[in-house]
Amino acid sequence: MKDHISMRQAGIIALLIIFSNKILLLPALMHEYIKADAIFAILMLFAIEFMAVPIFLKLKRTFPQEKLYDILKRYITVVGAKLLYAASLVFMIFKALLIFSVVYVYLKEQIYQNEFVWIAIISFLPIMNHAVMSGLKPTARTMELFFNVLIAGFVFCLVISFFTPISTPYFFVSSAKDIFASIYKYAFTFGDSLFLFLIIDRIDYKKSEEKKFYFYVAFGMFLVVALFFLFYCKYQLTSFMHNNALADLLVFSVHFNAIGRLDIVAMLTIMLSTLFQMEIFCYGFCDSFVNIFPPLNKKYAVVLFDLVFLILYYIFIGKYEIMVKSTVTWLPVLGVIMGYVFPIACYVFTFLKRRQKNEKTD
Amino acid sequence: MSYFNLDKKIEEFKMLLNDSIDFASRFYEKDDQKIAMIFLKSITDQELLSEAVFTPLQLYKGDLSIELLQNKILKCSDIKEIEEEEIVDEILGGKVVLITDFSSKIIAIDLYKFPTRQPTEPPTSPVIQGPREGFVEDLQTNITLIRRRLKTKNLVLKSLKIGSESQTKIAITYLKDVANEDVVNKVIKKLKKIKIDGIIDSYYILSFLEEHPNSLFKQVGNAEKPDIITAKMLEGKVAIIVDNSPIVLTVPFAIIEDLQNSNDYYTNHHYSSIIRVIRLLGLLIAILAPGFYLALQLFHYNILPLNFLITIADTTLGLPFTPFIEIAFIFLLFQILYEVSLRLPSYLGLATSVVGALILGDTGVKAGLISPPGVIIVALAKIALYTVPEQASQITVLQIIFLILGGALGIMGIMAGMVYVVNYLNKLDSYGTPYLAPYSPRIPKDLKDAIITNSIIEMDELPKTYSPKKEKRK
Amino acid sequence: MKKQIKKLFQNPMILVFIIILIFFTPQSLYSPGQNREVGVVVGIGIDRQADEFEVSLLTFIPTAQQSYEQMNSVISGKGETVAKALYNAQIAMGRKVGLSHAKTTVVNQELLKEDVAEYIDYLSRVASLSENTVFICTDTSAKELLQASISLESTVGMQLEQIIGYNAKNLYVTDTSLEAFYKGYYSNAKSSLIGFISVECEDGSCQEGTSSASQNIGPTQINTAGTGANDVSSSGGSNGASRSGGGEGTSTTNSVSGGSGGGDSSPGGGSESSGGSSGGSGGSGSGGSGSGGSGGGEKKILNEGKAVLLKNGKLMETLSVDLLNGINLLNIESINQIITIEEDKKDDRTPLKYSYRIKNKRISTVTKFENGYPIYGAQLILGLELVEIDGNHENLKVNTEFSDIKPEIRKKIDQNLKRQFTDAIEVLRKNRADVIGINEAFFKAHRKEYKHFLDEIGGADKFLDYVNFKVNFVLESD
Repeated sequence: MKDHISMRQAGIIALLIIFSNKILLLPALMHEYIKADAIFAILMLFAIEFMAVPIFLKLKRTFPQEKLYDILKRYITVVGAKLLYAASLVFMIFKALLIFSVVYVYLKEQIYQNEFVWIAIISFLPIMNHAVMSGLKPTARTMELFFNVLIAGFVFCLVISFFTPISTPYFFVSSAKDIFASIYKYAFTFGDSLFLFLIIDRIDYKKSEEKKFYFYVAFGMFLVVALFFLFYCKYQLTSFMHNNALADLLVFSVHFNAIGRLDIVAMLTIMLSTLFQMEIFCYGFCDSFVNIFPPLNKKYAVVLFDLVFLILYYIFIGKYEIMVKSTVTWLPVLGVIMGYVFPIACYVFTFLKRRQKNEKTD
Repeated sequence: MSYFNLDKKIEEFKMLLNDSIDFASRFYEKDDQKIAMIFLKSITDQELLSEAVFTPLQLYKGDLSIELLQNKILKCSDIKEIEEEEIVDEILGGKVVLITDFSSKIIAIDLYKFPTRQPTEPPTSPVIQGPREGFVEDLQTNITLIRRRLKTKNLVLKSLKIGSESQTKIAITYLKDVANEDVVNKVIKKLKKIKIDGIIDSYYILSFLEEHPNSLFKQVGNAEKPDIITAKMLEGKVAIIVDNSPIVLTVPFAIIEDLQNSNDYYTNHHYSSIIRVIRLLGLLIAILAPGFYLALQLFHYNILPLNFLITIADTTLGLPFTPFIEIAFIFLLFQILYEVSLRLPSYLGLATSVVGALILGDTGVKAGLISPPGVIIVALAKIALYTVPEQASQITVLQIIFLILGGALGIMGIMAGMVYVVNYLNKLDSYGTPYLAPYSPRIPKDLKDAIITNSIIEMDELPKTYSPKKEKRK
Repeated sequence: MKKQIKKLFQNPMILVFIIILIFFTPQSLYSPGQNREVGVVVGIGIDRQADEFEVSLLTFIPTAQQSYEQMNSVISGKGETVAKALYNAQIAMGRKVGLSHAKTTVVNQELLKEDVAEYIDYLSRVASLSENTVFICTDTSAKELLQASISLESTVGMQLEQIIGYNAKNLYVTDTSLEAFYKGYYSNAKSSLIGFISVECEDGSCQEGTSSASQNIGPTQINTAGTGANDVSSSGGSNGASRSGGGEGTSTTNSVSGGSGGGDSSPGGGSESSGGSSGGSGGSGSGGSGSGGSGGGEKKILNEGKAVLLKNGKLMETLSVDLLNGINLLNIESINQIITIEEDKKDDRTPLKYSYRIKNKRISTVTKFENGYPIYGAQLILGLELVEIDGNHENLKVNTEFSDIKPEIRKKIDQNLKRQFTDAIEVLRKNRADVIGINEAFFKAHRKEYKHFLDEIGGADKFLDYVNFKVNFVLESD
């Protein structure tokens, strides 16, 4: 079917969005706040996020071919649906900005060693735009092709940690209150399951492939938790000093640079996953835009994304701290709404639909 | 009653064919019955004409009729009745046209003959073990070569003539119980739509068959050996044989085909798998190495291990060129040498090698114009290119693109370029076949004959990539 | 033409490529490559002199047709902060400083008089500097050490970080890197262990510094002979070690010059190396302008296998090899230590000296609180290999019977190891520097009691004082 993707491809997209924002700066940020107990916060956040998967599948089963917009329109009116899409618009652009800013800083420090704003923009924006214009199918297929490479790179980074002495970090050093506070504080870096709901009508659902879908989501979460765990095992008390978790796992593994720069594996993995995540967020933004303003097509959405991205970039990225601060002040509200409240609302819709059905049959 | 004024008719056709020097006509007269034979000497087998037409006519006692000629007298298998307006075309097609004064019917006898070569091993696809026959320029021979390998009633051969001037015969062949009908219909439709004066080679129709003709990437497969074409047909592909061309085209096409080589199937499959992995690596090295090297020099010296950095720094120190210009210069040098070696007579090939390798390469380095690492990187890329010779032209263009991306944007540019190219390729469909299948989208069953290949026994199913009619190979 | 242009613009990616060609490619076309623009720094030295810092950069600057030594220079700059000094060094270099290949960071002892973390803050913030950069200190000047390292590499093909790497693996049995320093610095005990390398000057210009370092070490009773394993001297000639202020000091000398016989464990005497290493000319930088040249032809790197103990980033004690061995007794990775035991004097002959190498080690530990006090119990099963019997006994031959450890020797080894361990613990207690992870072990195993105990004694600093160590050695011969 035109622009439809398979369950496997949807699973890969889910895995990629699970990685987003979580593999570089987050482990250090969370460690500064709640030390190694960040793993518990992550596990809880993932537990909630994982709940979105059965809800998503149930919604798909209940409304097999319907667009999310139409479902929303039915239950929360057109205005409600448009408002939600507007929130999704903001959510997606800020997600893209956050990941771009974090990765930009990483690449600047580790690879380019200089400001390379325009190089980054000319490398990222056209690819994101092209992904949107070419449609979900080729984009998902591209992700599918690079998936094995990406996972191999990721796993390599994790496995290589074992070649240096590691020891289990100290757990239970933070209070439960702090852990829960951090769950809220970093909520914006989670809640990416929204994207799956946005493309719900473009997934070729097969009940037999549900397991596959669950596997990819669980695998993605496992990799992130494993990264957190190994990172804290390796750096222990100095974890907060290492802002590039995945890459830093490798840096310190290479004693006295004997083997050379193995961290290039992490660099390429990060670049690749960032490109895909940016594509996903750009697609999410444009999809939301097209639904809010139906007469306008994807071309307008892409242009708007570029403009907003560049404007916000100069407001935020120039002041990296503002960007990071925003993610822990007002953006978590958006994260909670889009990532956690929204799936629950969707579950209610499926319930309402079933009731309507029952009423009809009665 | 005389149906045709034979003299007048012959004169008429002679004029129609511009009084060509190879125009010929012969008469046979017996008991007031006259037969005129019109043909072109250059493309007619005159010995056969004598044997198949003249001798039987002389030996025949009795009245002649067209039916008798067709069914009894003439010793030729390919005799058919034609209309008067078809006469010129038939003559041009190497037929001998028989006009009589005792019948309104006209018959054409196929006594076509032109110089042709034997089906020898083509230079582009040599094998260590396996069949060595290659296609030739003659359509009939090529069909024979396929027919010899596929003795089945399912083999379909359809013919078309394309080219207002060249009137080139094109044969579309496939296995009717395997090939997807949509693909067959689409091919025929596309071929029929072609408006062109002449088809000189099969590459002339290649662009017409492609679904994205402006694309850099080839979307039609090609091979010069009947064993390869037969194997492709068995997978459900449609082959297009063009007269006067030893290259046979196939659709649909997926890029994995170019990583597969006929040698792979004639040797141990474990070994084939390794070779295919090397081919893939070669492809990646060919495309990315020069750009990557340039990116490292211009943007990411910090990624290089210190010893390698010292080597590069040491060897590039005295160069008059910047890294970009140096690599571009070496690249150009290699390309020029390649072009020259293609066009020079073979006896001058050695001289080119000496000039290229020794004088330009070695002396260039010694003179401090180019650096050894630069030469090695470009040479590696240029050699690696021929691990997949079918894609050589595409890879060369990609090399240049990635060289510019690496030089202008660094590794980020190369990664972005790679994602773009793959995304673009995923958009390309060749007759409904995903270009990067069976990896993207992943078709698990087809992975049996992808980069890692299994034994023939395990390849019991037809590749779904090409949407064949049936599933099993049985 | 119009049609062609229109076609071109139909694909926005072609447009993007044209933008790249126009705006990005020209810059790359005339860019000479980073290796010509950046001075690749392979070693950083920070010295503090009064209120001023001097940052020295061991820099690789490629020069056509030059030897390795001539391509390496130490360029320095001075300033009131490390950042300012580095900036001045960069000006002196005339190139951008590239720290990504820096493998070694050296600080002088002056810097360690106060919290060194304050001074190396710059290094922790420079992202291009890898965290696995070797971090060591020297008793003289970091600059001299870097200068000496050039000749080390040119003469014997060894790099400074290789020597440190050997020390870290065999003597310190822990990393001596920036990361390792910070790990200790941020731990409960706030203690770290970093490597120590000296510079020896033939003309005696740096003797003062050396002797001041020696004073820190003090006399140590060491029965073990110097391993000499790090000796990179090409020939003998001197009577070896003990630059450590008298006593039976041992040293594993890493002298780069031709004549040193360091590592020979003869007691007493100072290491005297003859022969100069080749080296370029050049002096030291001053006034923030810096200067090039490998300089200091007579300076040699002297590796005695020492390390320094830091508490809160401050230097507390310089640890000798013997003390390090004692500290590392509880470290499973620490093997290859040589234990030399002299047998009791017999009437008819001079006593023999037995040298054993710890071939393997198995450790089982128990941590518990008894009567409210922490007890650390450990059983060390040491596999010993007889490597030498030193003496003039006429009948002494290489014989397997000697492999068996005599009860008398066994007892002496046990005593020796216990003394080694006690000495080490004493030093750690004295400096309240728990670099062997005793705090960690109790925290992990008995978190509640540990915390309670800390509350009682008033902090993790004093914890080591209260720990009762019960260490039992089981010796196994071949």
